[in-house]
Amino acid sequence: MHVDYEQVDDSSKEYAVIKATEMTENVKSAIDLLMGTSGCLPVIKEGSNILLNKTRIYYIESVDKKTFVYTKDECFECKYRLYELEEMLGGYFARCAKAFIVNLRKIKSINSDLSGRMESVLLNDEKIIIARSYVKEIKRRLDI
Amino acid sequence: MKIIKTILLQAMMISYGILAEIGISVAITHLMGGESMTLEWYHPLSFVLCGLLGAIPTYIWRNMESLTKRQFAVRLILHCLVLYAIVMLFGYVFKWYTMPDGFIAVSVGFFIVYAFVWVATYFFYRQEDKAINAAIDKIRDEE
Repeated sequence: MHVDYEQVDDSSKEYAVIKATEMTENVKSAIDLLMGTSGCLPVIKEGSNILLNKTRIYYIESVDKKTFVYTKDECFECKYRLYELEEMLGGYFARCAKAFIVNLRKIKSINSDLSGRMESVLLNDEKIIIARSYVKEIKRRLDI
Repeated sequence: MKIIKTILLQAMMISYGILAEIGISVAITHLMGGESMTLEWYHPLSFVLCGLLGAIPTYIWRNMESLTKRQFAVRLILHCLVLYAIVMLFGYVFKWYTMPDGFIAVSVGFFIVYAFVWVATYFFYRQEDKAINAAIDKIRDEE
């Protein structure tokens, strides 16, 4: 793949475009790297500190000032607050409700009802509500 | 600030709905060879005032996203009836209708506009869903 590099004077001007015939694992890895979604997050499992690969995260929930990180079939506790994780994870991890951050790459589909409530079905068939007030930001993350 | 913004937005939508209803009904009457309608000096102002007062029942929709389907249905009926009462009261006070057939015409027009607003809203939600689903399809992880 041909790669261009151009130096800019301001971080707000940083921008990457990847043109590929298909979304391969390599392309996904490159996107993860550029968007800061690669790497690991320190979490707690049964009292032990472990590093959780960010790509395994489905969603994050805040309950009674505690933060829980959910993967396909596991749950971990995390010492970070939701707003800190929002900044740390960035990329396709988007706030979807006051107490939730969802990994957009783990969403199977979304569906709105007449009341404006948007429901997302994740790859493990769990359902997460997306509050209407966060839809604009989610669309921005998805380049819509 | 958010409440004021919502009320003003609703007021504009209701005023627009009233104007659209009158505009369409007058156009149909004209095309069918009926009498033309003449607006009194207070009519445009009454549309604006009706829009403002009609926006207040928007309060019924607070916490809309946390409503169950049943609660949503109940509030939808309540909102529709309260808004209908306000519109018909304004219609009576500002003489939008004077005869029973006028009353029926305004009532039918109200329910058509009310239903149209919800159908249009749902249509836009669905369009938004399609766009988001298409974007998610491109980035979704394979499990």
